[in-house]
Amino acid sequence: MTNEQDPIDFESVIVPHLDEAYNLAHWLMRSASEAEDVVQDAMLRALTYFRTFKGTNARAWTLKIVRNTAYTALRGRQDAGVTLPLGTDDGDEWCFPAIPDPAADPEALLARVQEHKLLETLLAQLPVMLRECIVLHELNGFSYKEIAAITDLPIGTVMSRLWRARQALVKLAAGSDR
Amino acid sequence: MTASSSTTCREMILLTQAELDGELSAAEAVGVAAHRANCADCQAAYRMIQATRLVVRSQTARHTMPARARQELLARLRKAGGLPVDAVRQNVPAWRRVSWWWMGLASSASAVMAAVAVLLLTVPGQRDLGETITDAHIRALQPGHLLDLPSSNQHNVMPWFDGKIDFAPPVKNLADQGFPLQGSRLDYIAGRSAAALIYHSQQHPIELFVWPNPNAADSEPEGEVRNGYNILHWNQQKMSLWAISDVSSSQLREFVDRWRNVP
Repeated sequence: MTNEQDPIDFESVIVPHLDEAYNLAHWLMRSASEAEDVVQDAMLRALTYFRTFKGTNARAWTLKIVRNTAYTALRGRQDAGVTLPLGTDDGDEWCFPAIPDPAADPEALLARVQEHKLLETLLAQLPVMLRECIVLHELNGFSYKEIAAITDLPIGTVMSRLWRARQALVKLAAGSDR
Repeated sequence: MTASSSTTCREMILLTQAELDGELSAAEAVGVAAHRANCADCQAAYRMIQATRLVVRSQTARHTMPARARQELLARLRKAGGLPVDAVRQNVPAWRRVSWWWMGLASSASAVMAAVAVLLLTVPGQRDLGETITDAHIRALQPGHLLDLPSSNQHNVMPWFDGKIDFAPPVKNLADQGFPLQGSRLDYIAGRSAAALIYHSQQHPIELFVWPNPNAADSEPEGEVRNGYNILHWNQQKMSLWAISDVSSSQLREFVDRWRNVP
């Protein structure tokens, strides 16, 4: 190989995260074909920037590139859903009376969601900024700190987005119940 | 709702969430639980988070890249200089792989090297799998992470995997042999979806990772120790299996022997 990259390293360090990369892209784009394009672009970018990879946490490094590539693609879309529809980006303005109603029965609500296999539809309805936190945490098993690194957000924002995402899911579940 | 409108409770809710997400130390978790004992809002938040965690983790599909797209991508990466030729071998019959390579070839010297590379194929990242398994196991041991589906009945566990992964993992219950099944989880190991089956041995979890390995011949278990965890790895009926636990190596060996012998 004449290339300066070390192909063996790229293969053993980055390629193993291909399925996770695709899963994240799929959840962000909500389309299989767009997810393929995003992963393709992202992996070529990863190859280009592989030299800057410092050797720690290749998963997070790879998924960060996938996430950024997906956002670029989403911004080019009409129905981007990249900005939060709730008026404010969460920053610190975490709308307060958001405490769950103690009388509500989230278990029953979500059991119904489970029974009717609605979860994926509900999750897809979340704004992408909330959805990505749920996907990165629950499906990819990333810690708050890793999610903060992937999304370039402060940990506090990751925590409040995760909370808002969960609340929104319950709210959507209640809505779908009627 | 008196305490609830304070900043403190808002923070406590986020801490409650952090507790359930396995982000707090044991000492911190005790503090959060103590507050919650007297706070209806935090109790409601706790139930809500718990319920969403369970439903998301058990109901959400992991999307797997179609084989065709995967091969195209690996081919593009190879063209861009990022991969050795053998990375494209997956799911390509040997004869096609070779002819494809010969057709695309510019220099015959590298052809010889490539042929050698094809002969020396190893599973990518195999050398790191023990470490990957250990990391996955440790991650799973965080509170609330071990099980997506708690169930001691293999007839619940088996269909649970339907549609979540692209293979049917062998689910066996060894309850009558001292290793009751506790449930299952999905995980990613070395970039592909894997089934994780969780058993117990005298209060210690034994985790068994399974994924298909169509080219592997049946093999005897091989052991290693990582971070104090015992690991046994073997291939059986075209599946790659990795058992990991903090039980003693002889106990883990007993588990594996029994598991292999259950039809």
